[in-house]
Amino acid sequence: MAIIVNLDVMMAKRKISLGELAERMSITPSNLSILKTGKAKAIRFSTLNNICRLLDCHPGDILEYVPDEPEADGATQKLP
Amino acid sequence: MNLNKNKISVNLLCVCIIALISITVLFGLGVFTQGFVEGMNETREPIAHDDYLFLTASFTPASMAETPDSIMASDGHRLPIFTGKGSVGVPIERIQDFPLILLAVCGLLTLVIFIFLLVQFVKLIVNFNRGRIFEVRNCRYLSRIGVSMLVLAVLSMFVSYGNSQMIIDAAGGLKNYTTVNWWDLIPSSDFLVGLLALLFAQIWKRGIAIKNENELTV
Repeated sequence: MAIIVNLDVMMAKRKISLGELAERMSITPSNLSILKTGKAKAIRFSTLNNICRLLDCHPGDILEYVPDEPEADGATQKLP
Repeated sequence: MNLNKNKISVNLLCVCIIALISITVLFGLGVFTQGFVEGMNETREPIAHDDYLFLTASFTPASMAETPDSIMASDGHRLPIFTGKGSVGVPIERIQDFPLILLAVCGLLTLVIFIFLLVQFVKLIVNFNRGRIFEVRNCRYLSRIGVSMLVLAVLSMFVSYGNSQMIIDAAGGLKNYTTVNWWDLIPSSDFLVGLLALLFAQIWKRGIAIKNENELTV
């Protein structure tokens, strides 16, 4: 997948642990760990809202788009 | 939803299904044992000329306007009947060995498949009762049940057709009846149950995939 989750970077900048962040967000550490390790398939807006509020950041600080390698037939060309 | 009530309903339904399957298995075992014993006895005693073997077969009257069979009403007059499927007695000495052996093998195969089906069903229900519902192995059990039912349906068709042919061969042809009732030969309920089980297995698999995806949604 091309979306990279930089939650661990923001957590290190704000000096907050996974368990503490999970407790403040009222979710389990294992659930948050799924997001941190990039295994999540989807994220709710409410969760993203809570993360940005608690870490005082923007969604772009947490989520980063890294393009996949271009295919031979040029299927991943950008739209004009 | 009351989970306890749901569990009781599921278990009651399963008891009925297992009872039905077990009766079929036991009946098949009984028929096989009886046939085996009679076969062993025949090696010791000569076959009597009035010994009949009853074979289940399906025949259609040549003309529905004049059905060859009838039953007597209580007021004495006869009512035409179309039995469709029934047991026909065939003199044993007119039946060849090879078709009989083939049908015996089919009967044994049917029994084995039924037992396999019962085991898969019990495994499925045990998983339900232990709360292990959304697991891939349950889809495997359902698929095996579906395939077993389809195989049983095909075997049943083969046996019915074989019986019809044995009757015709032993009788040297039939009067007033066409040879085989093809529609009666097809056990549509067995095919339907098998296909439904396969369908539910696929739906279950999709459900498990959606559940796994939801679990990975933070």
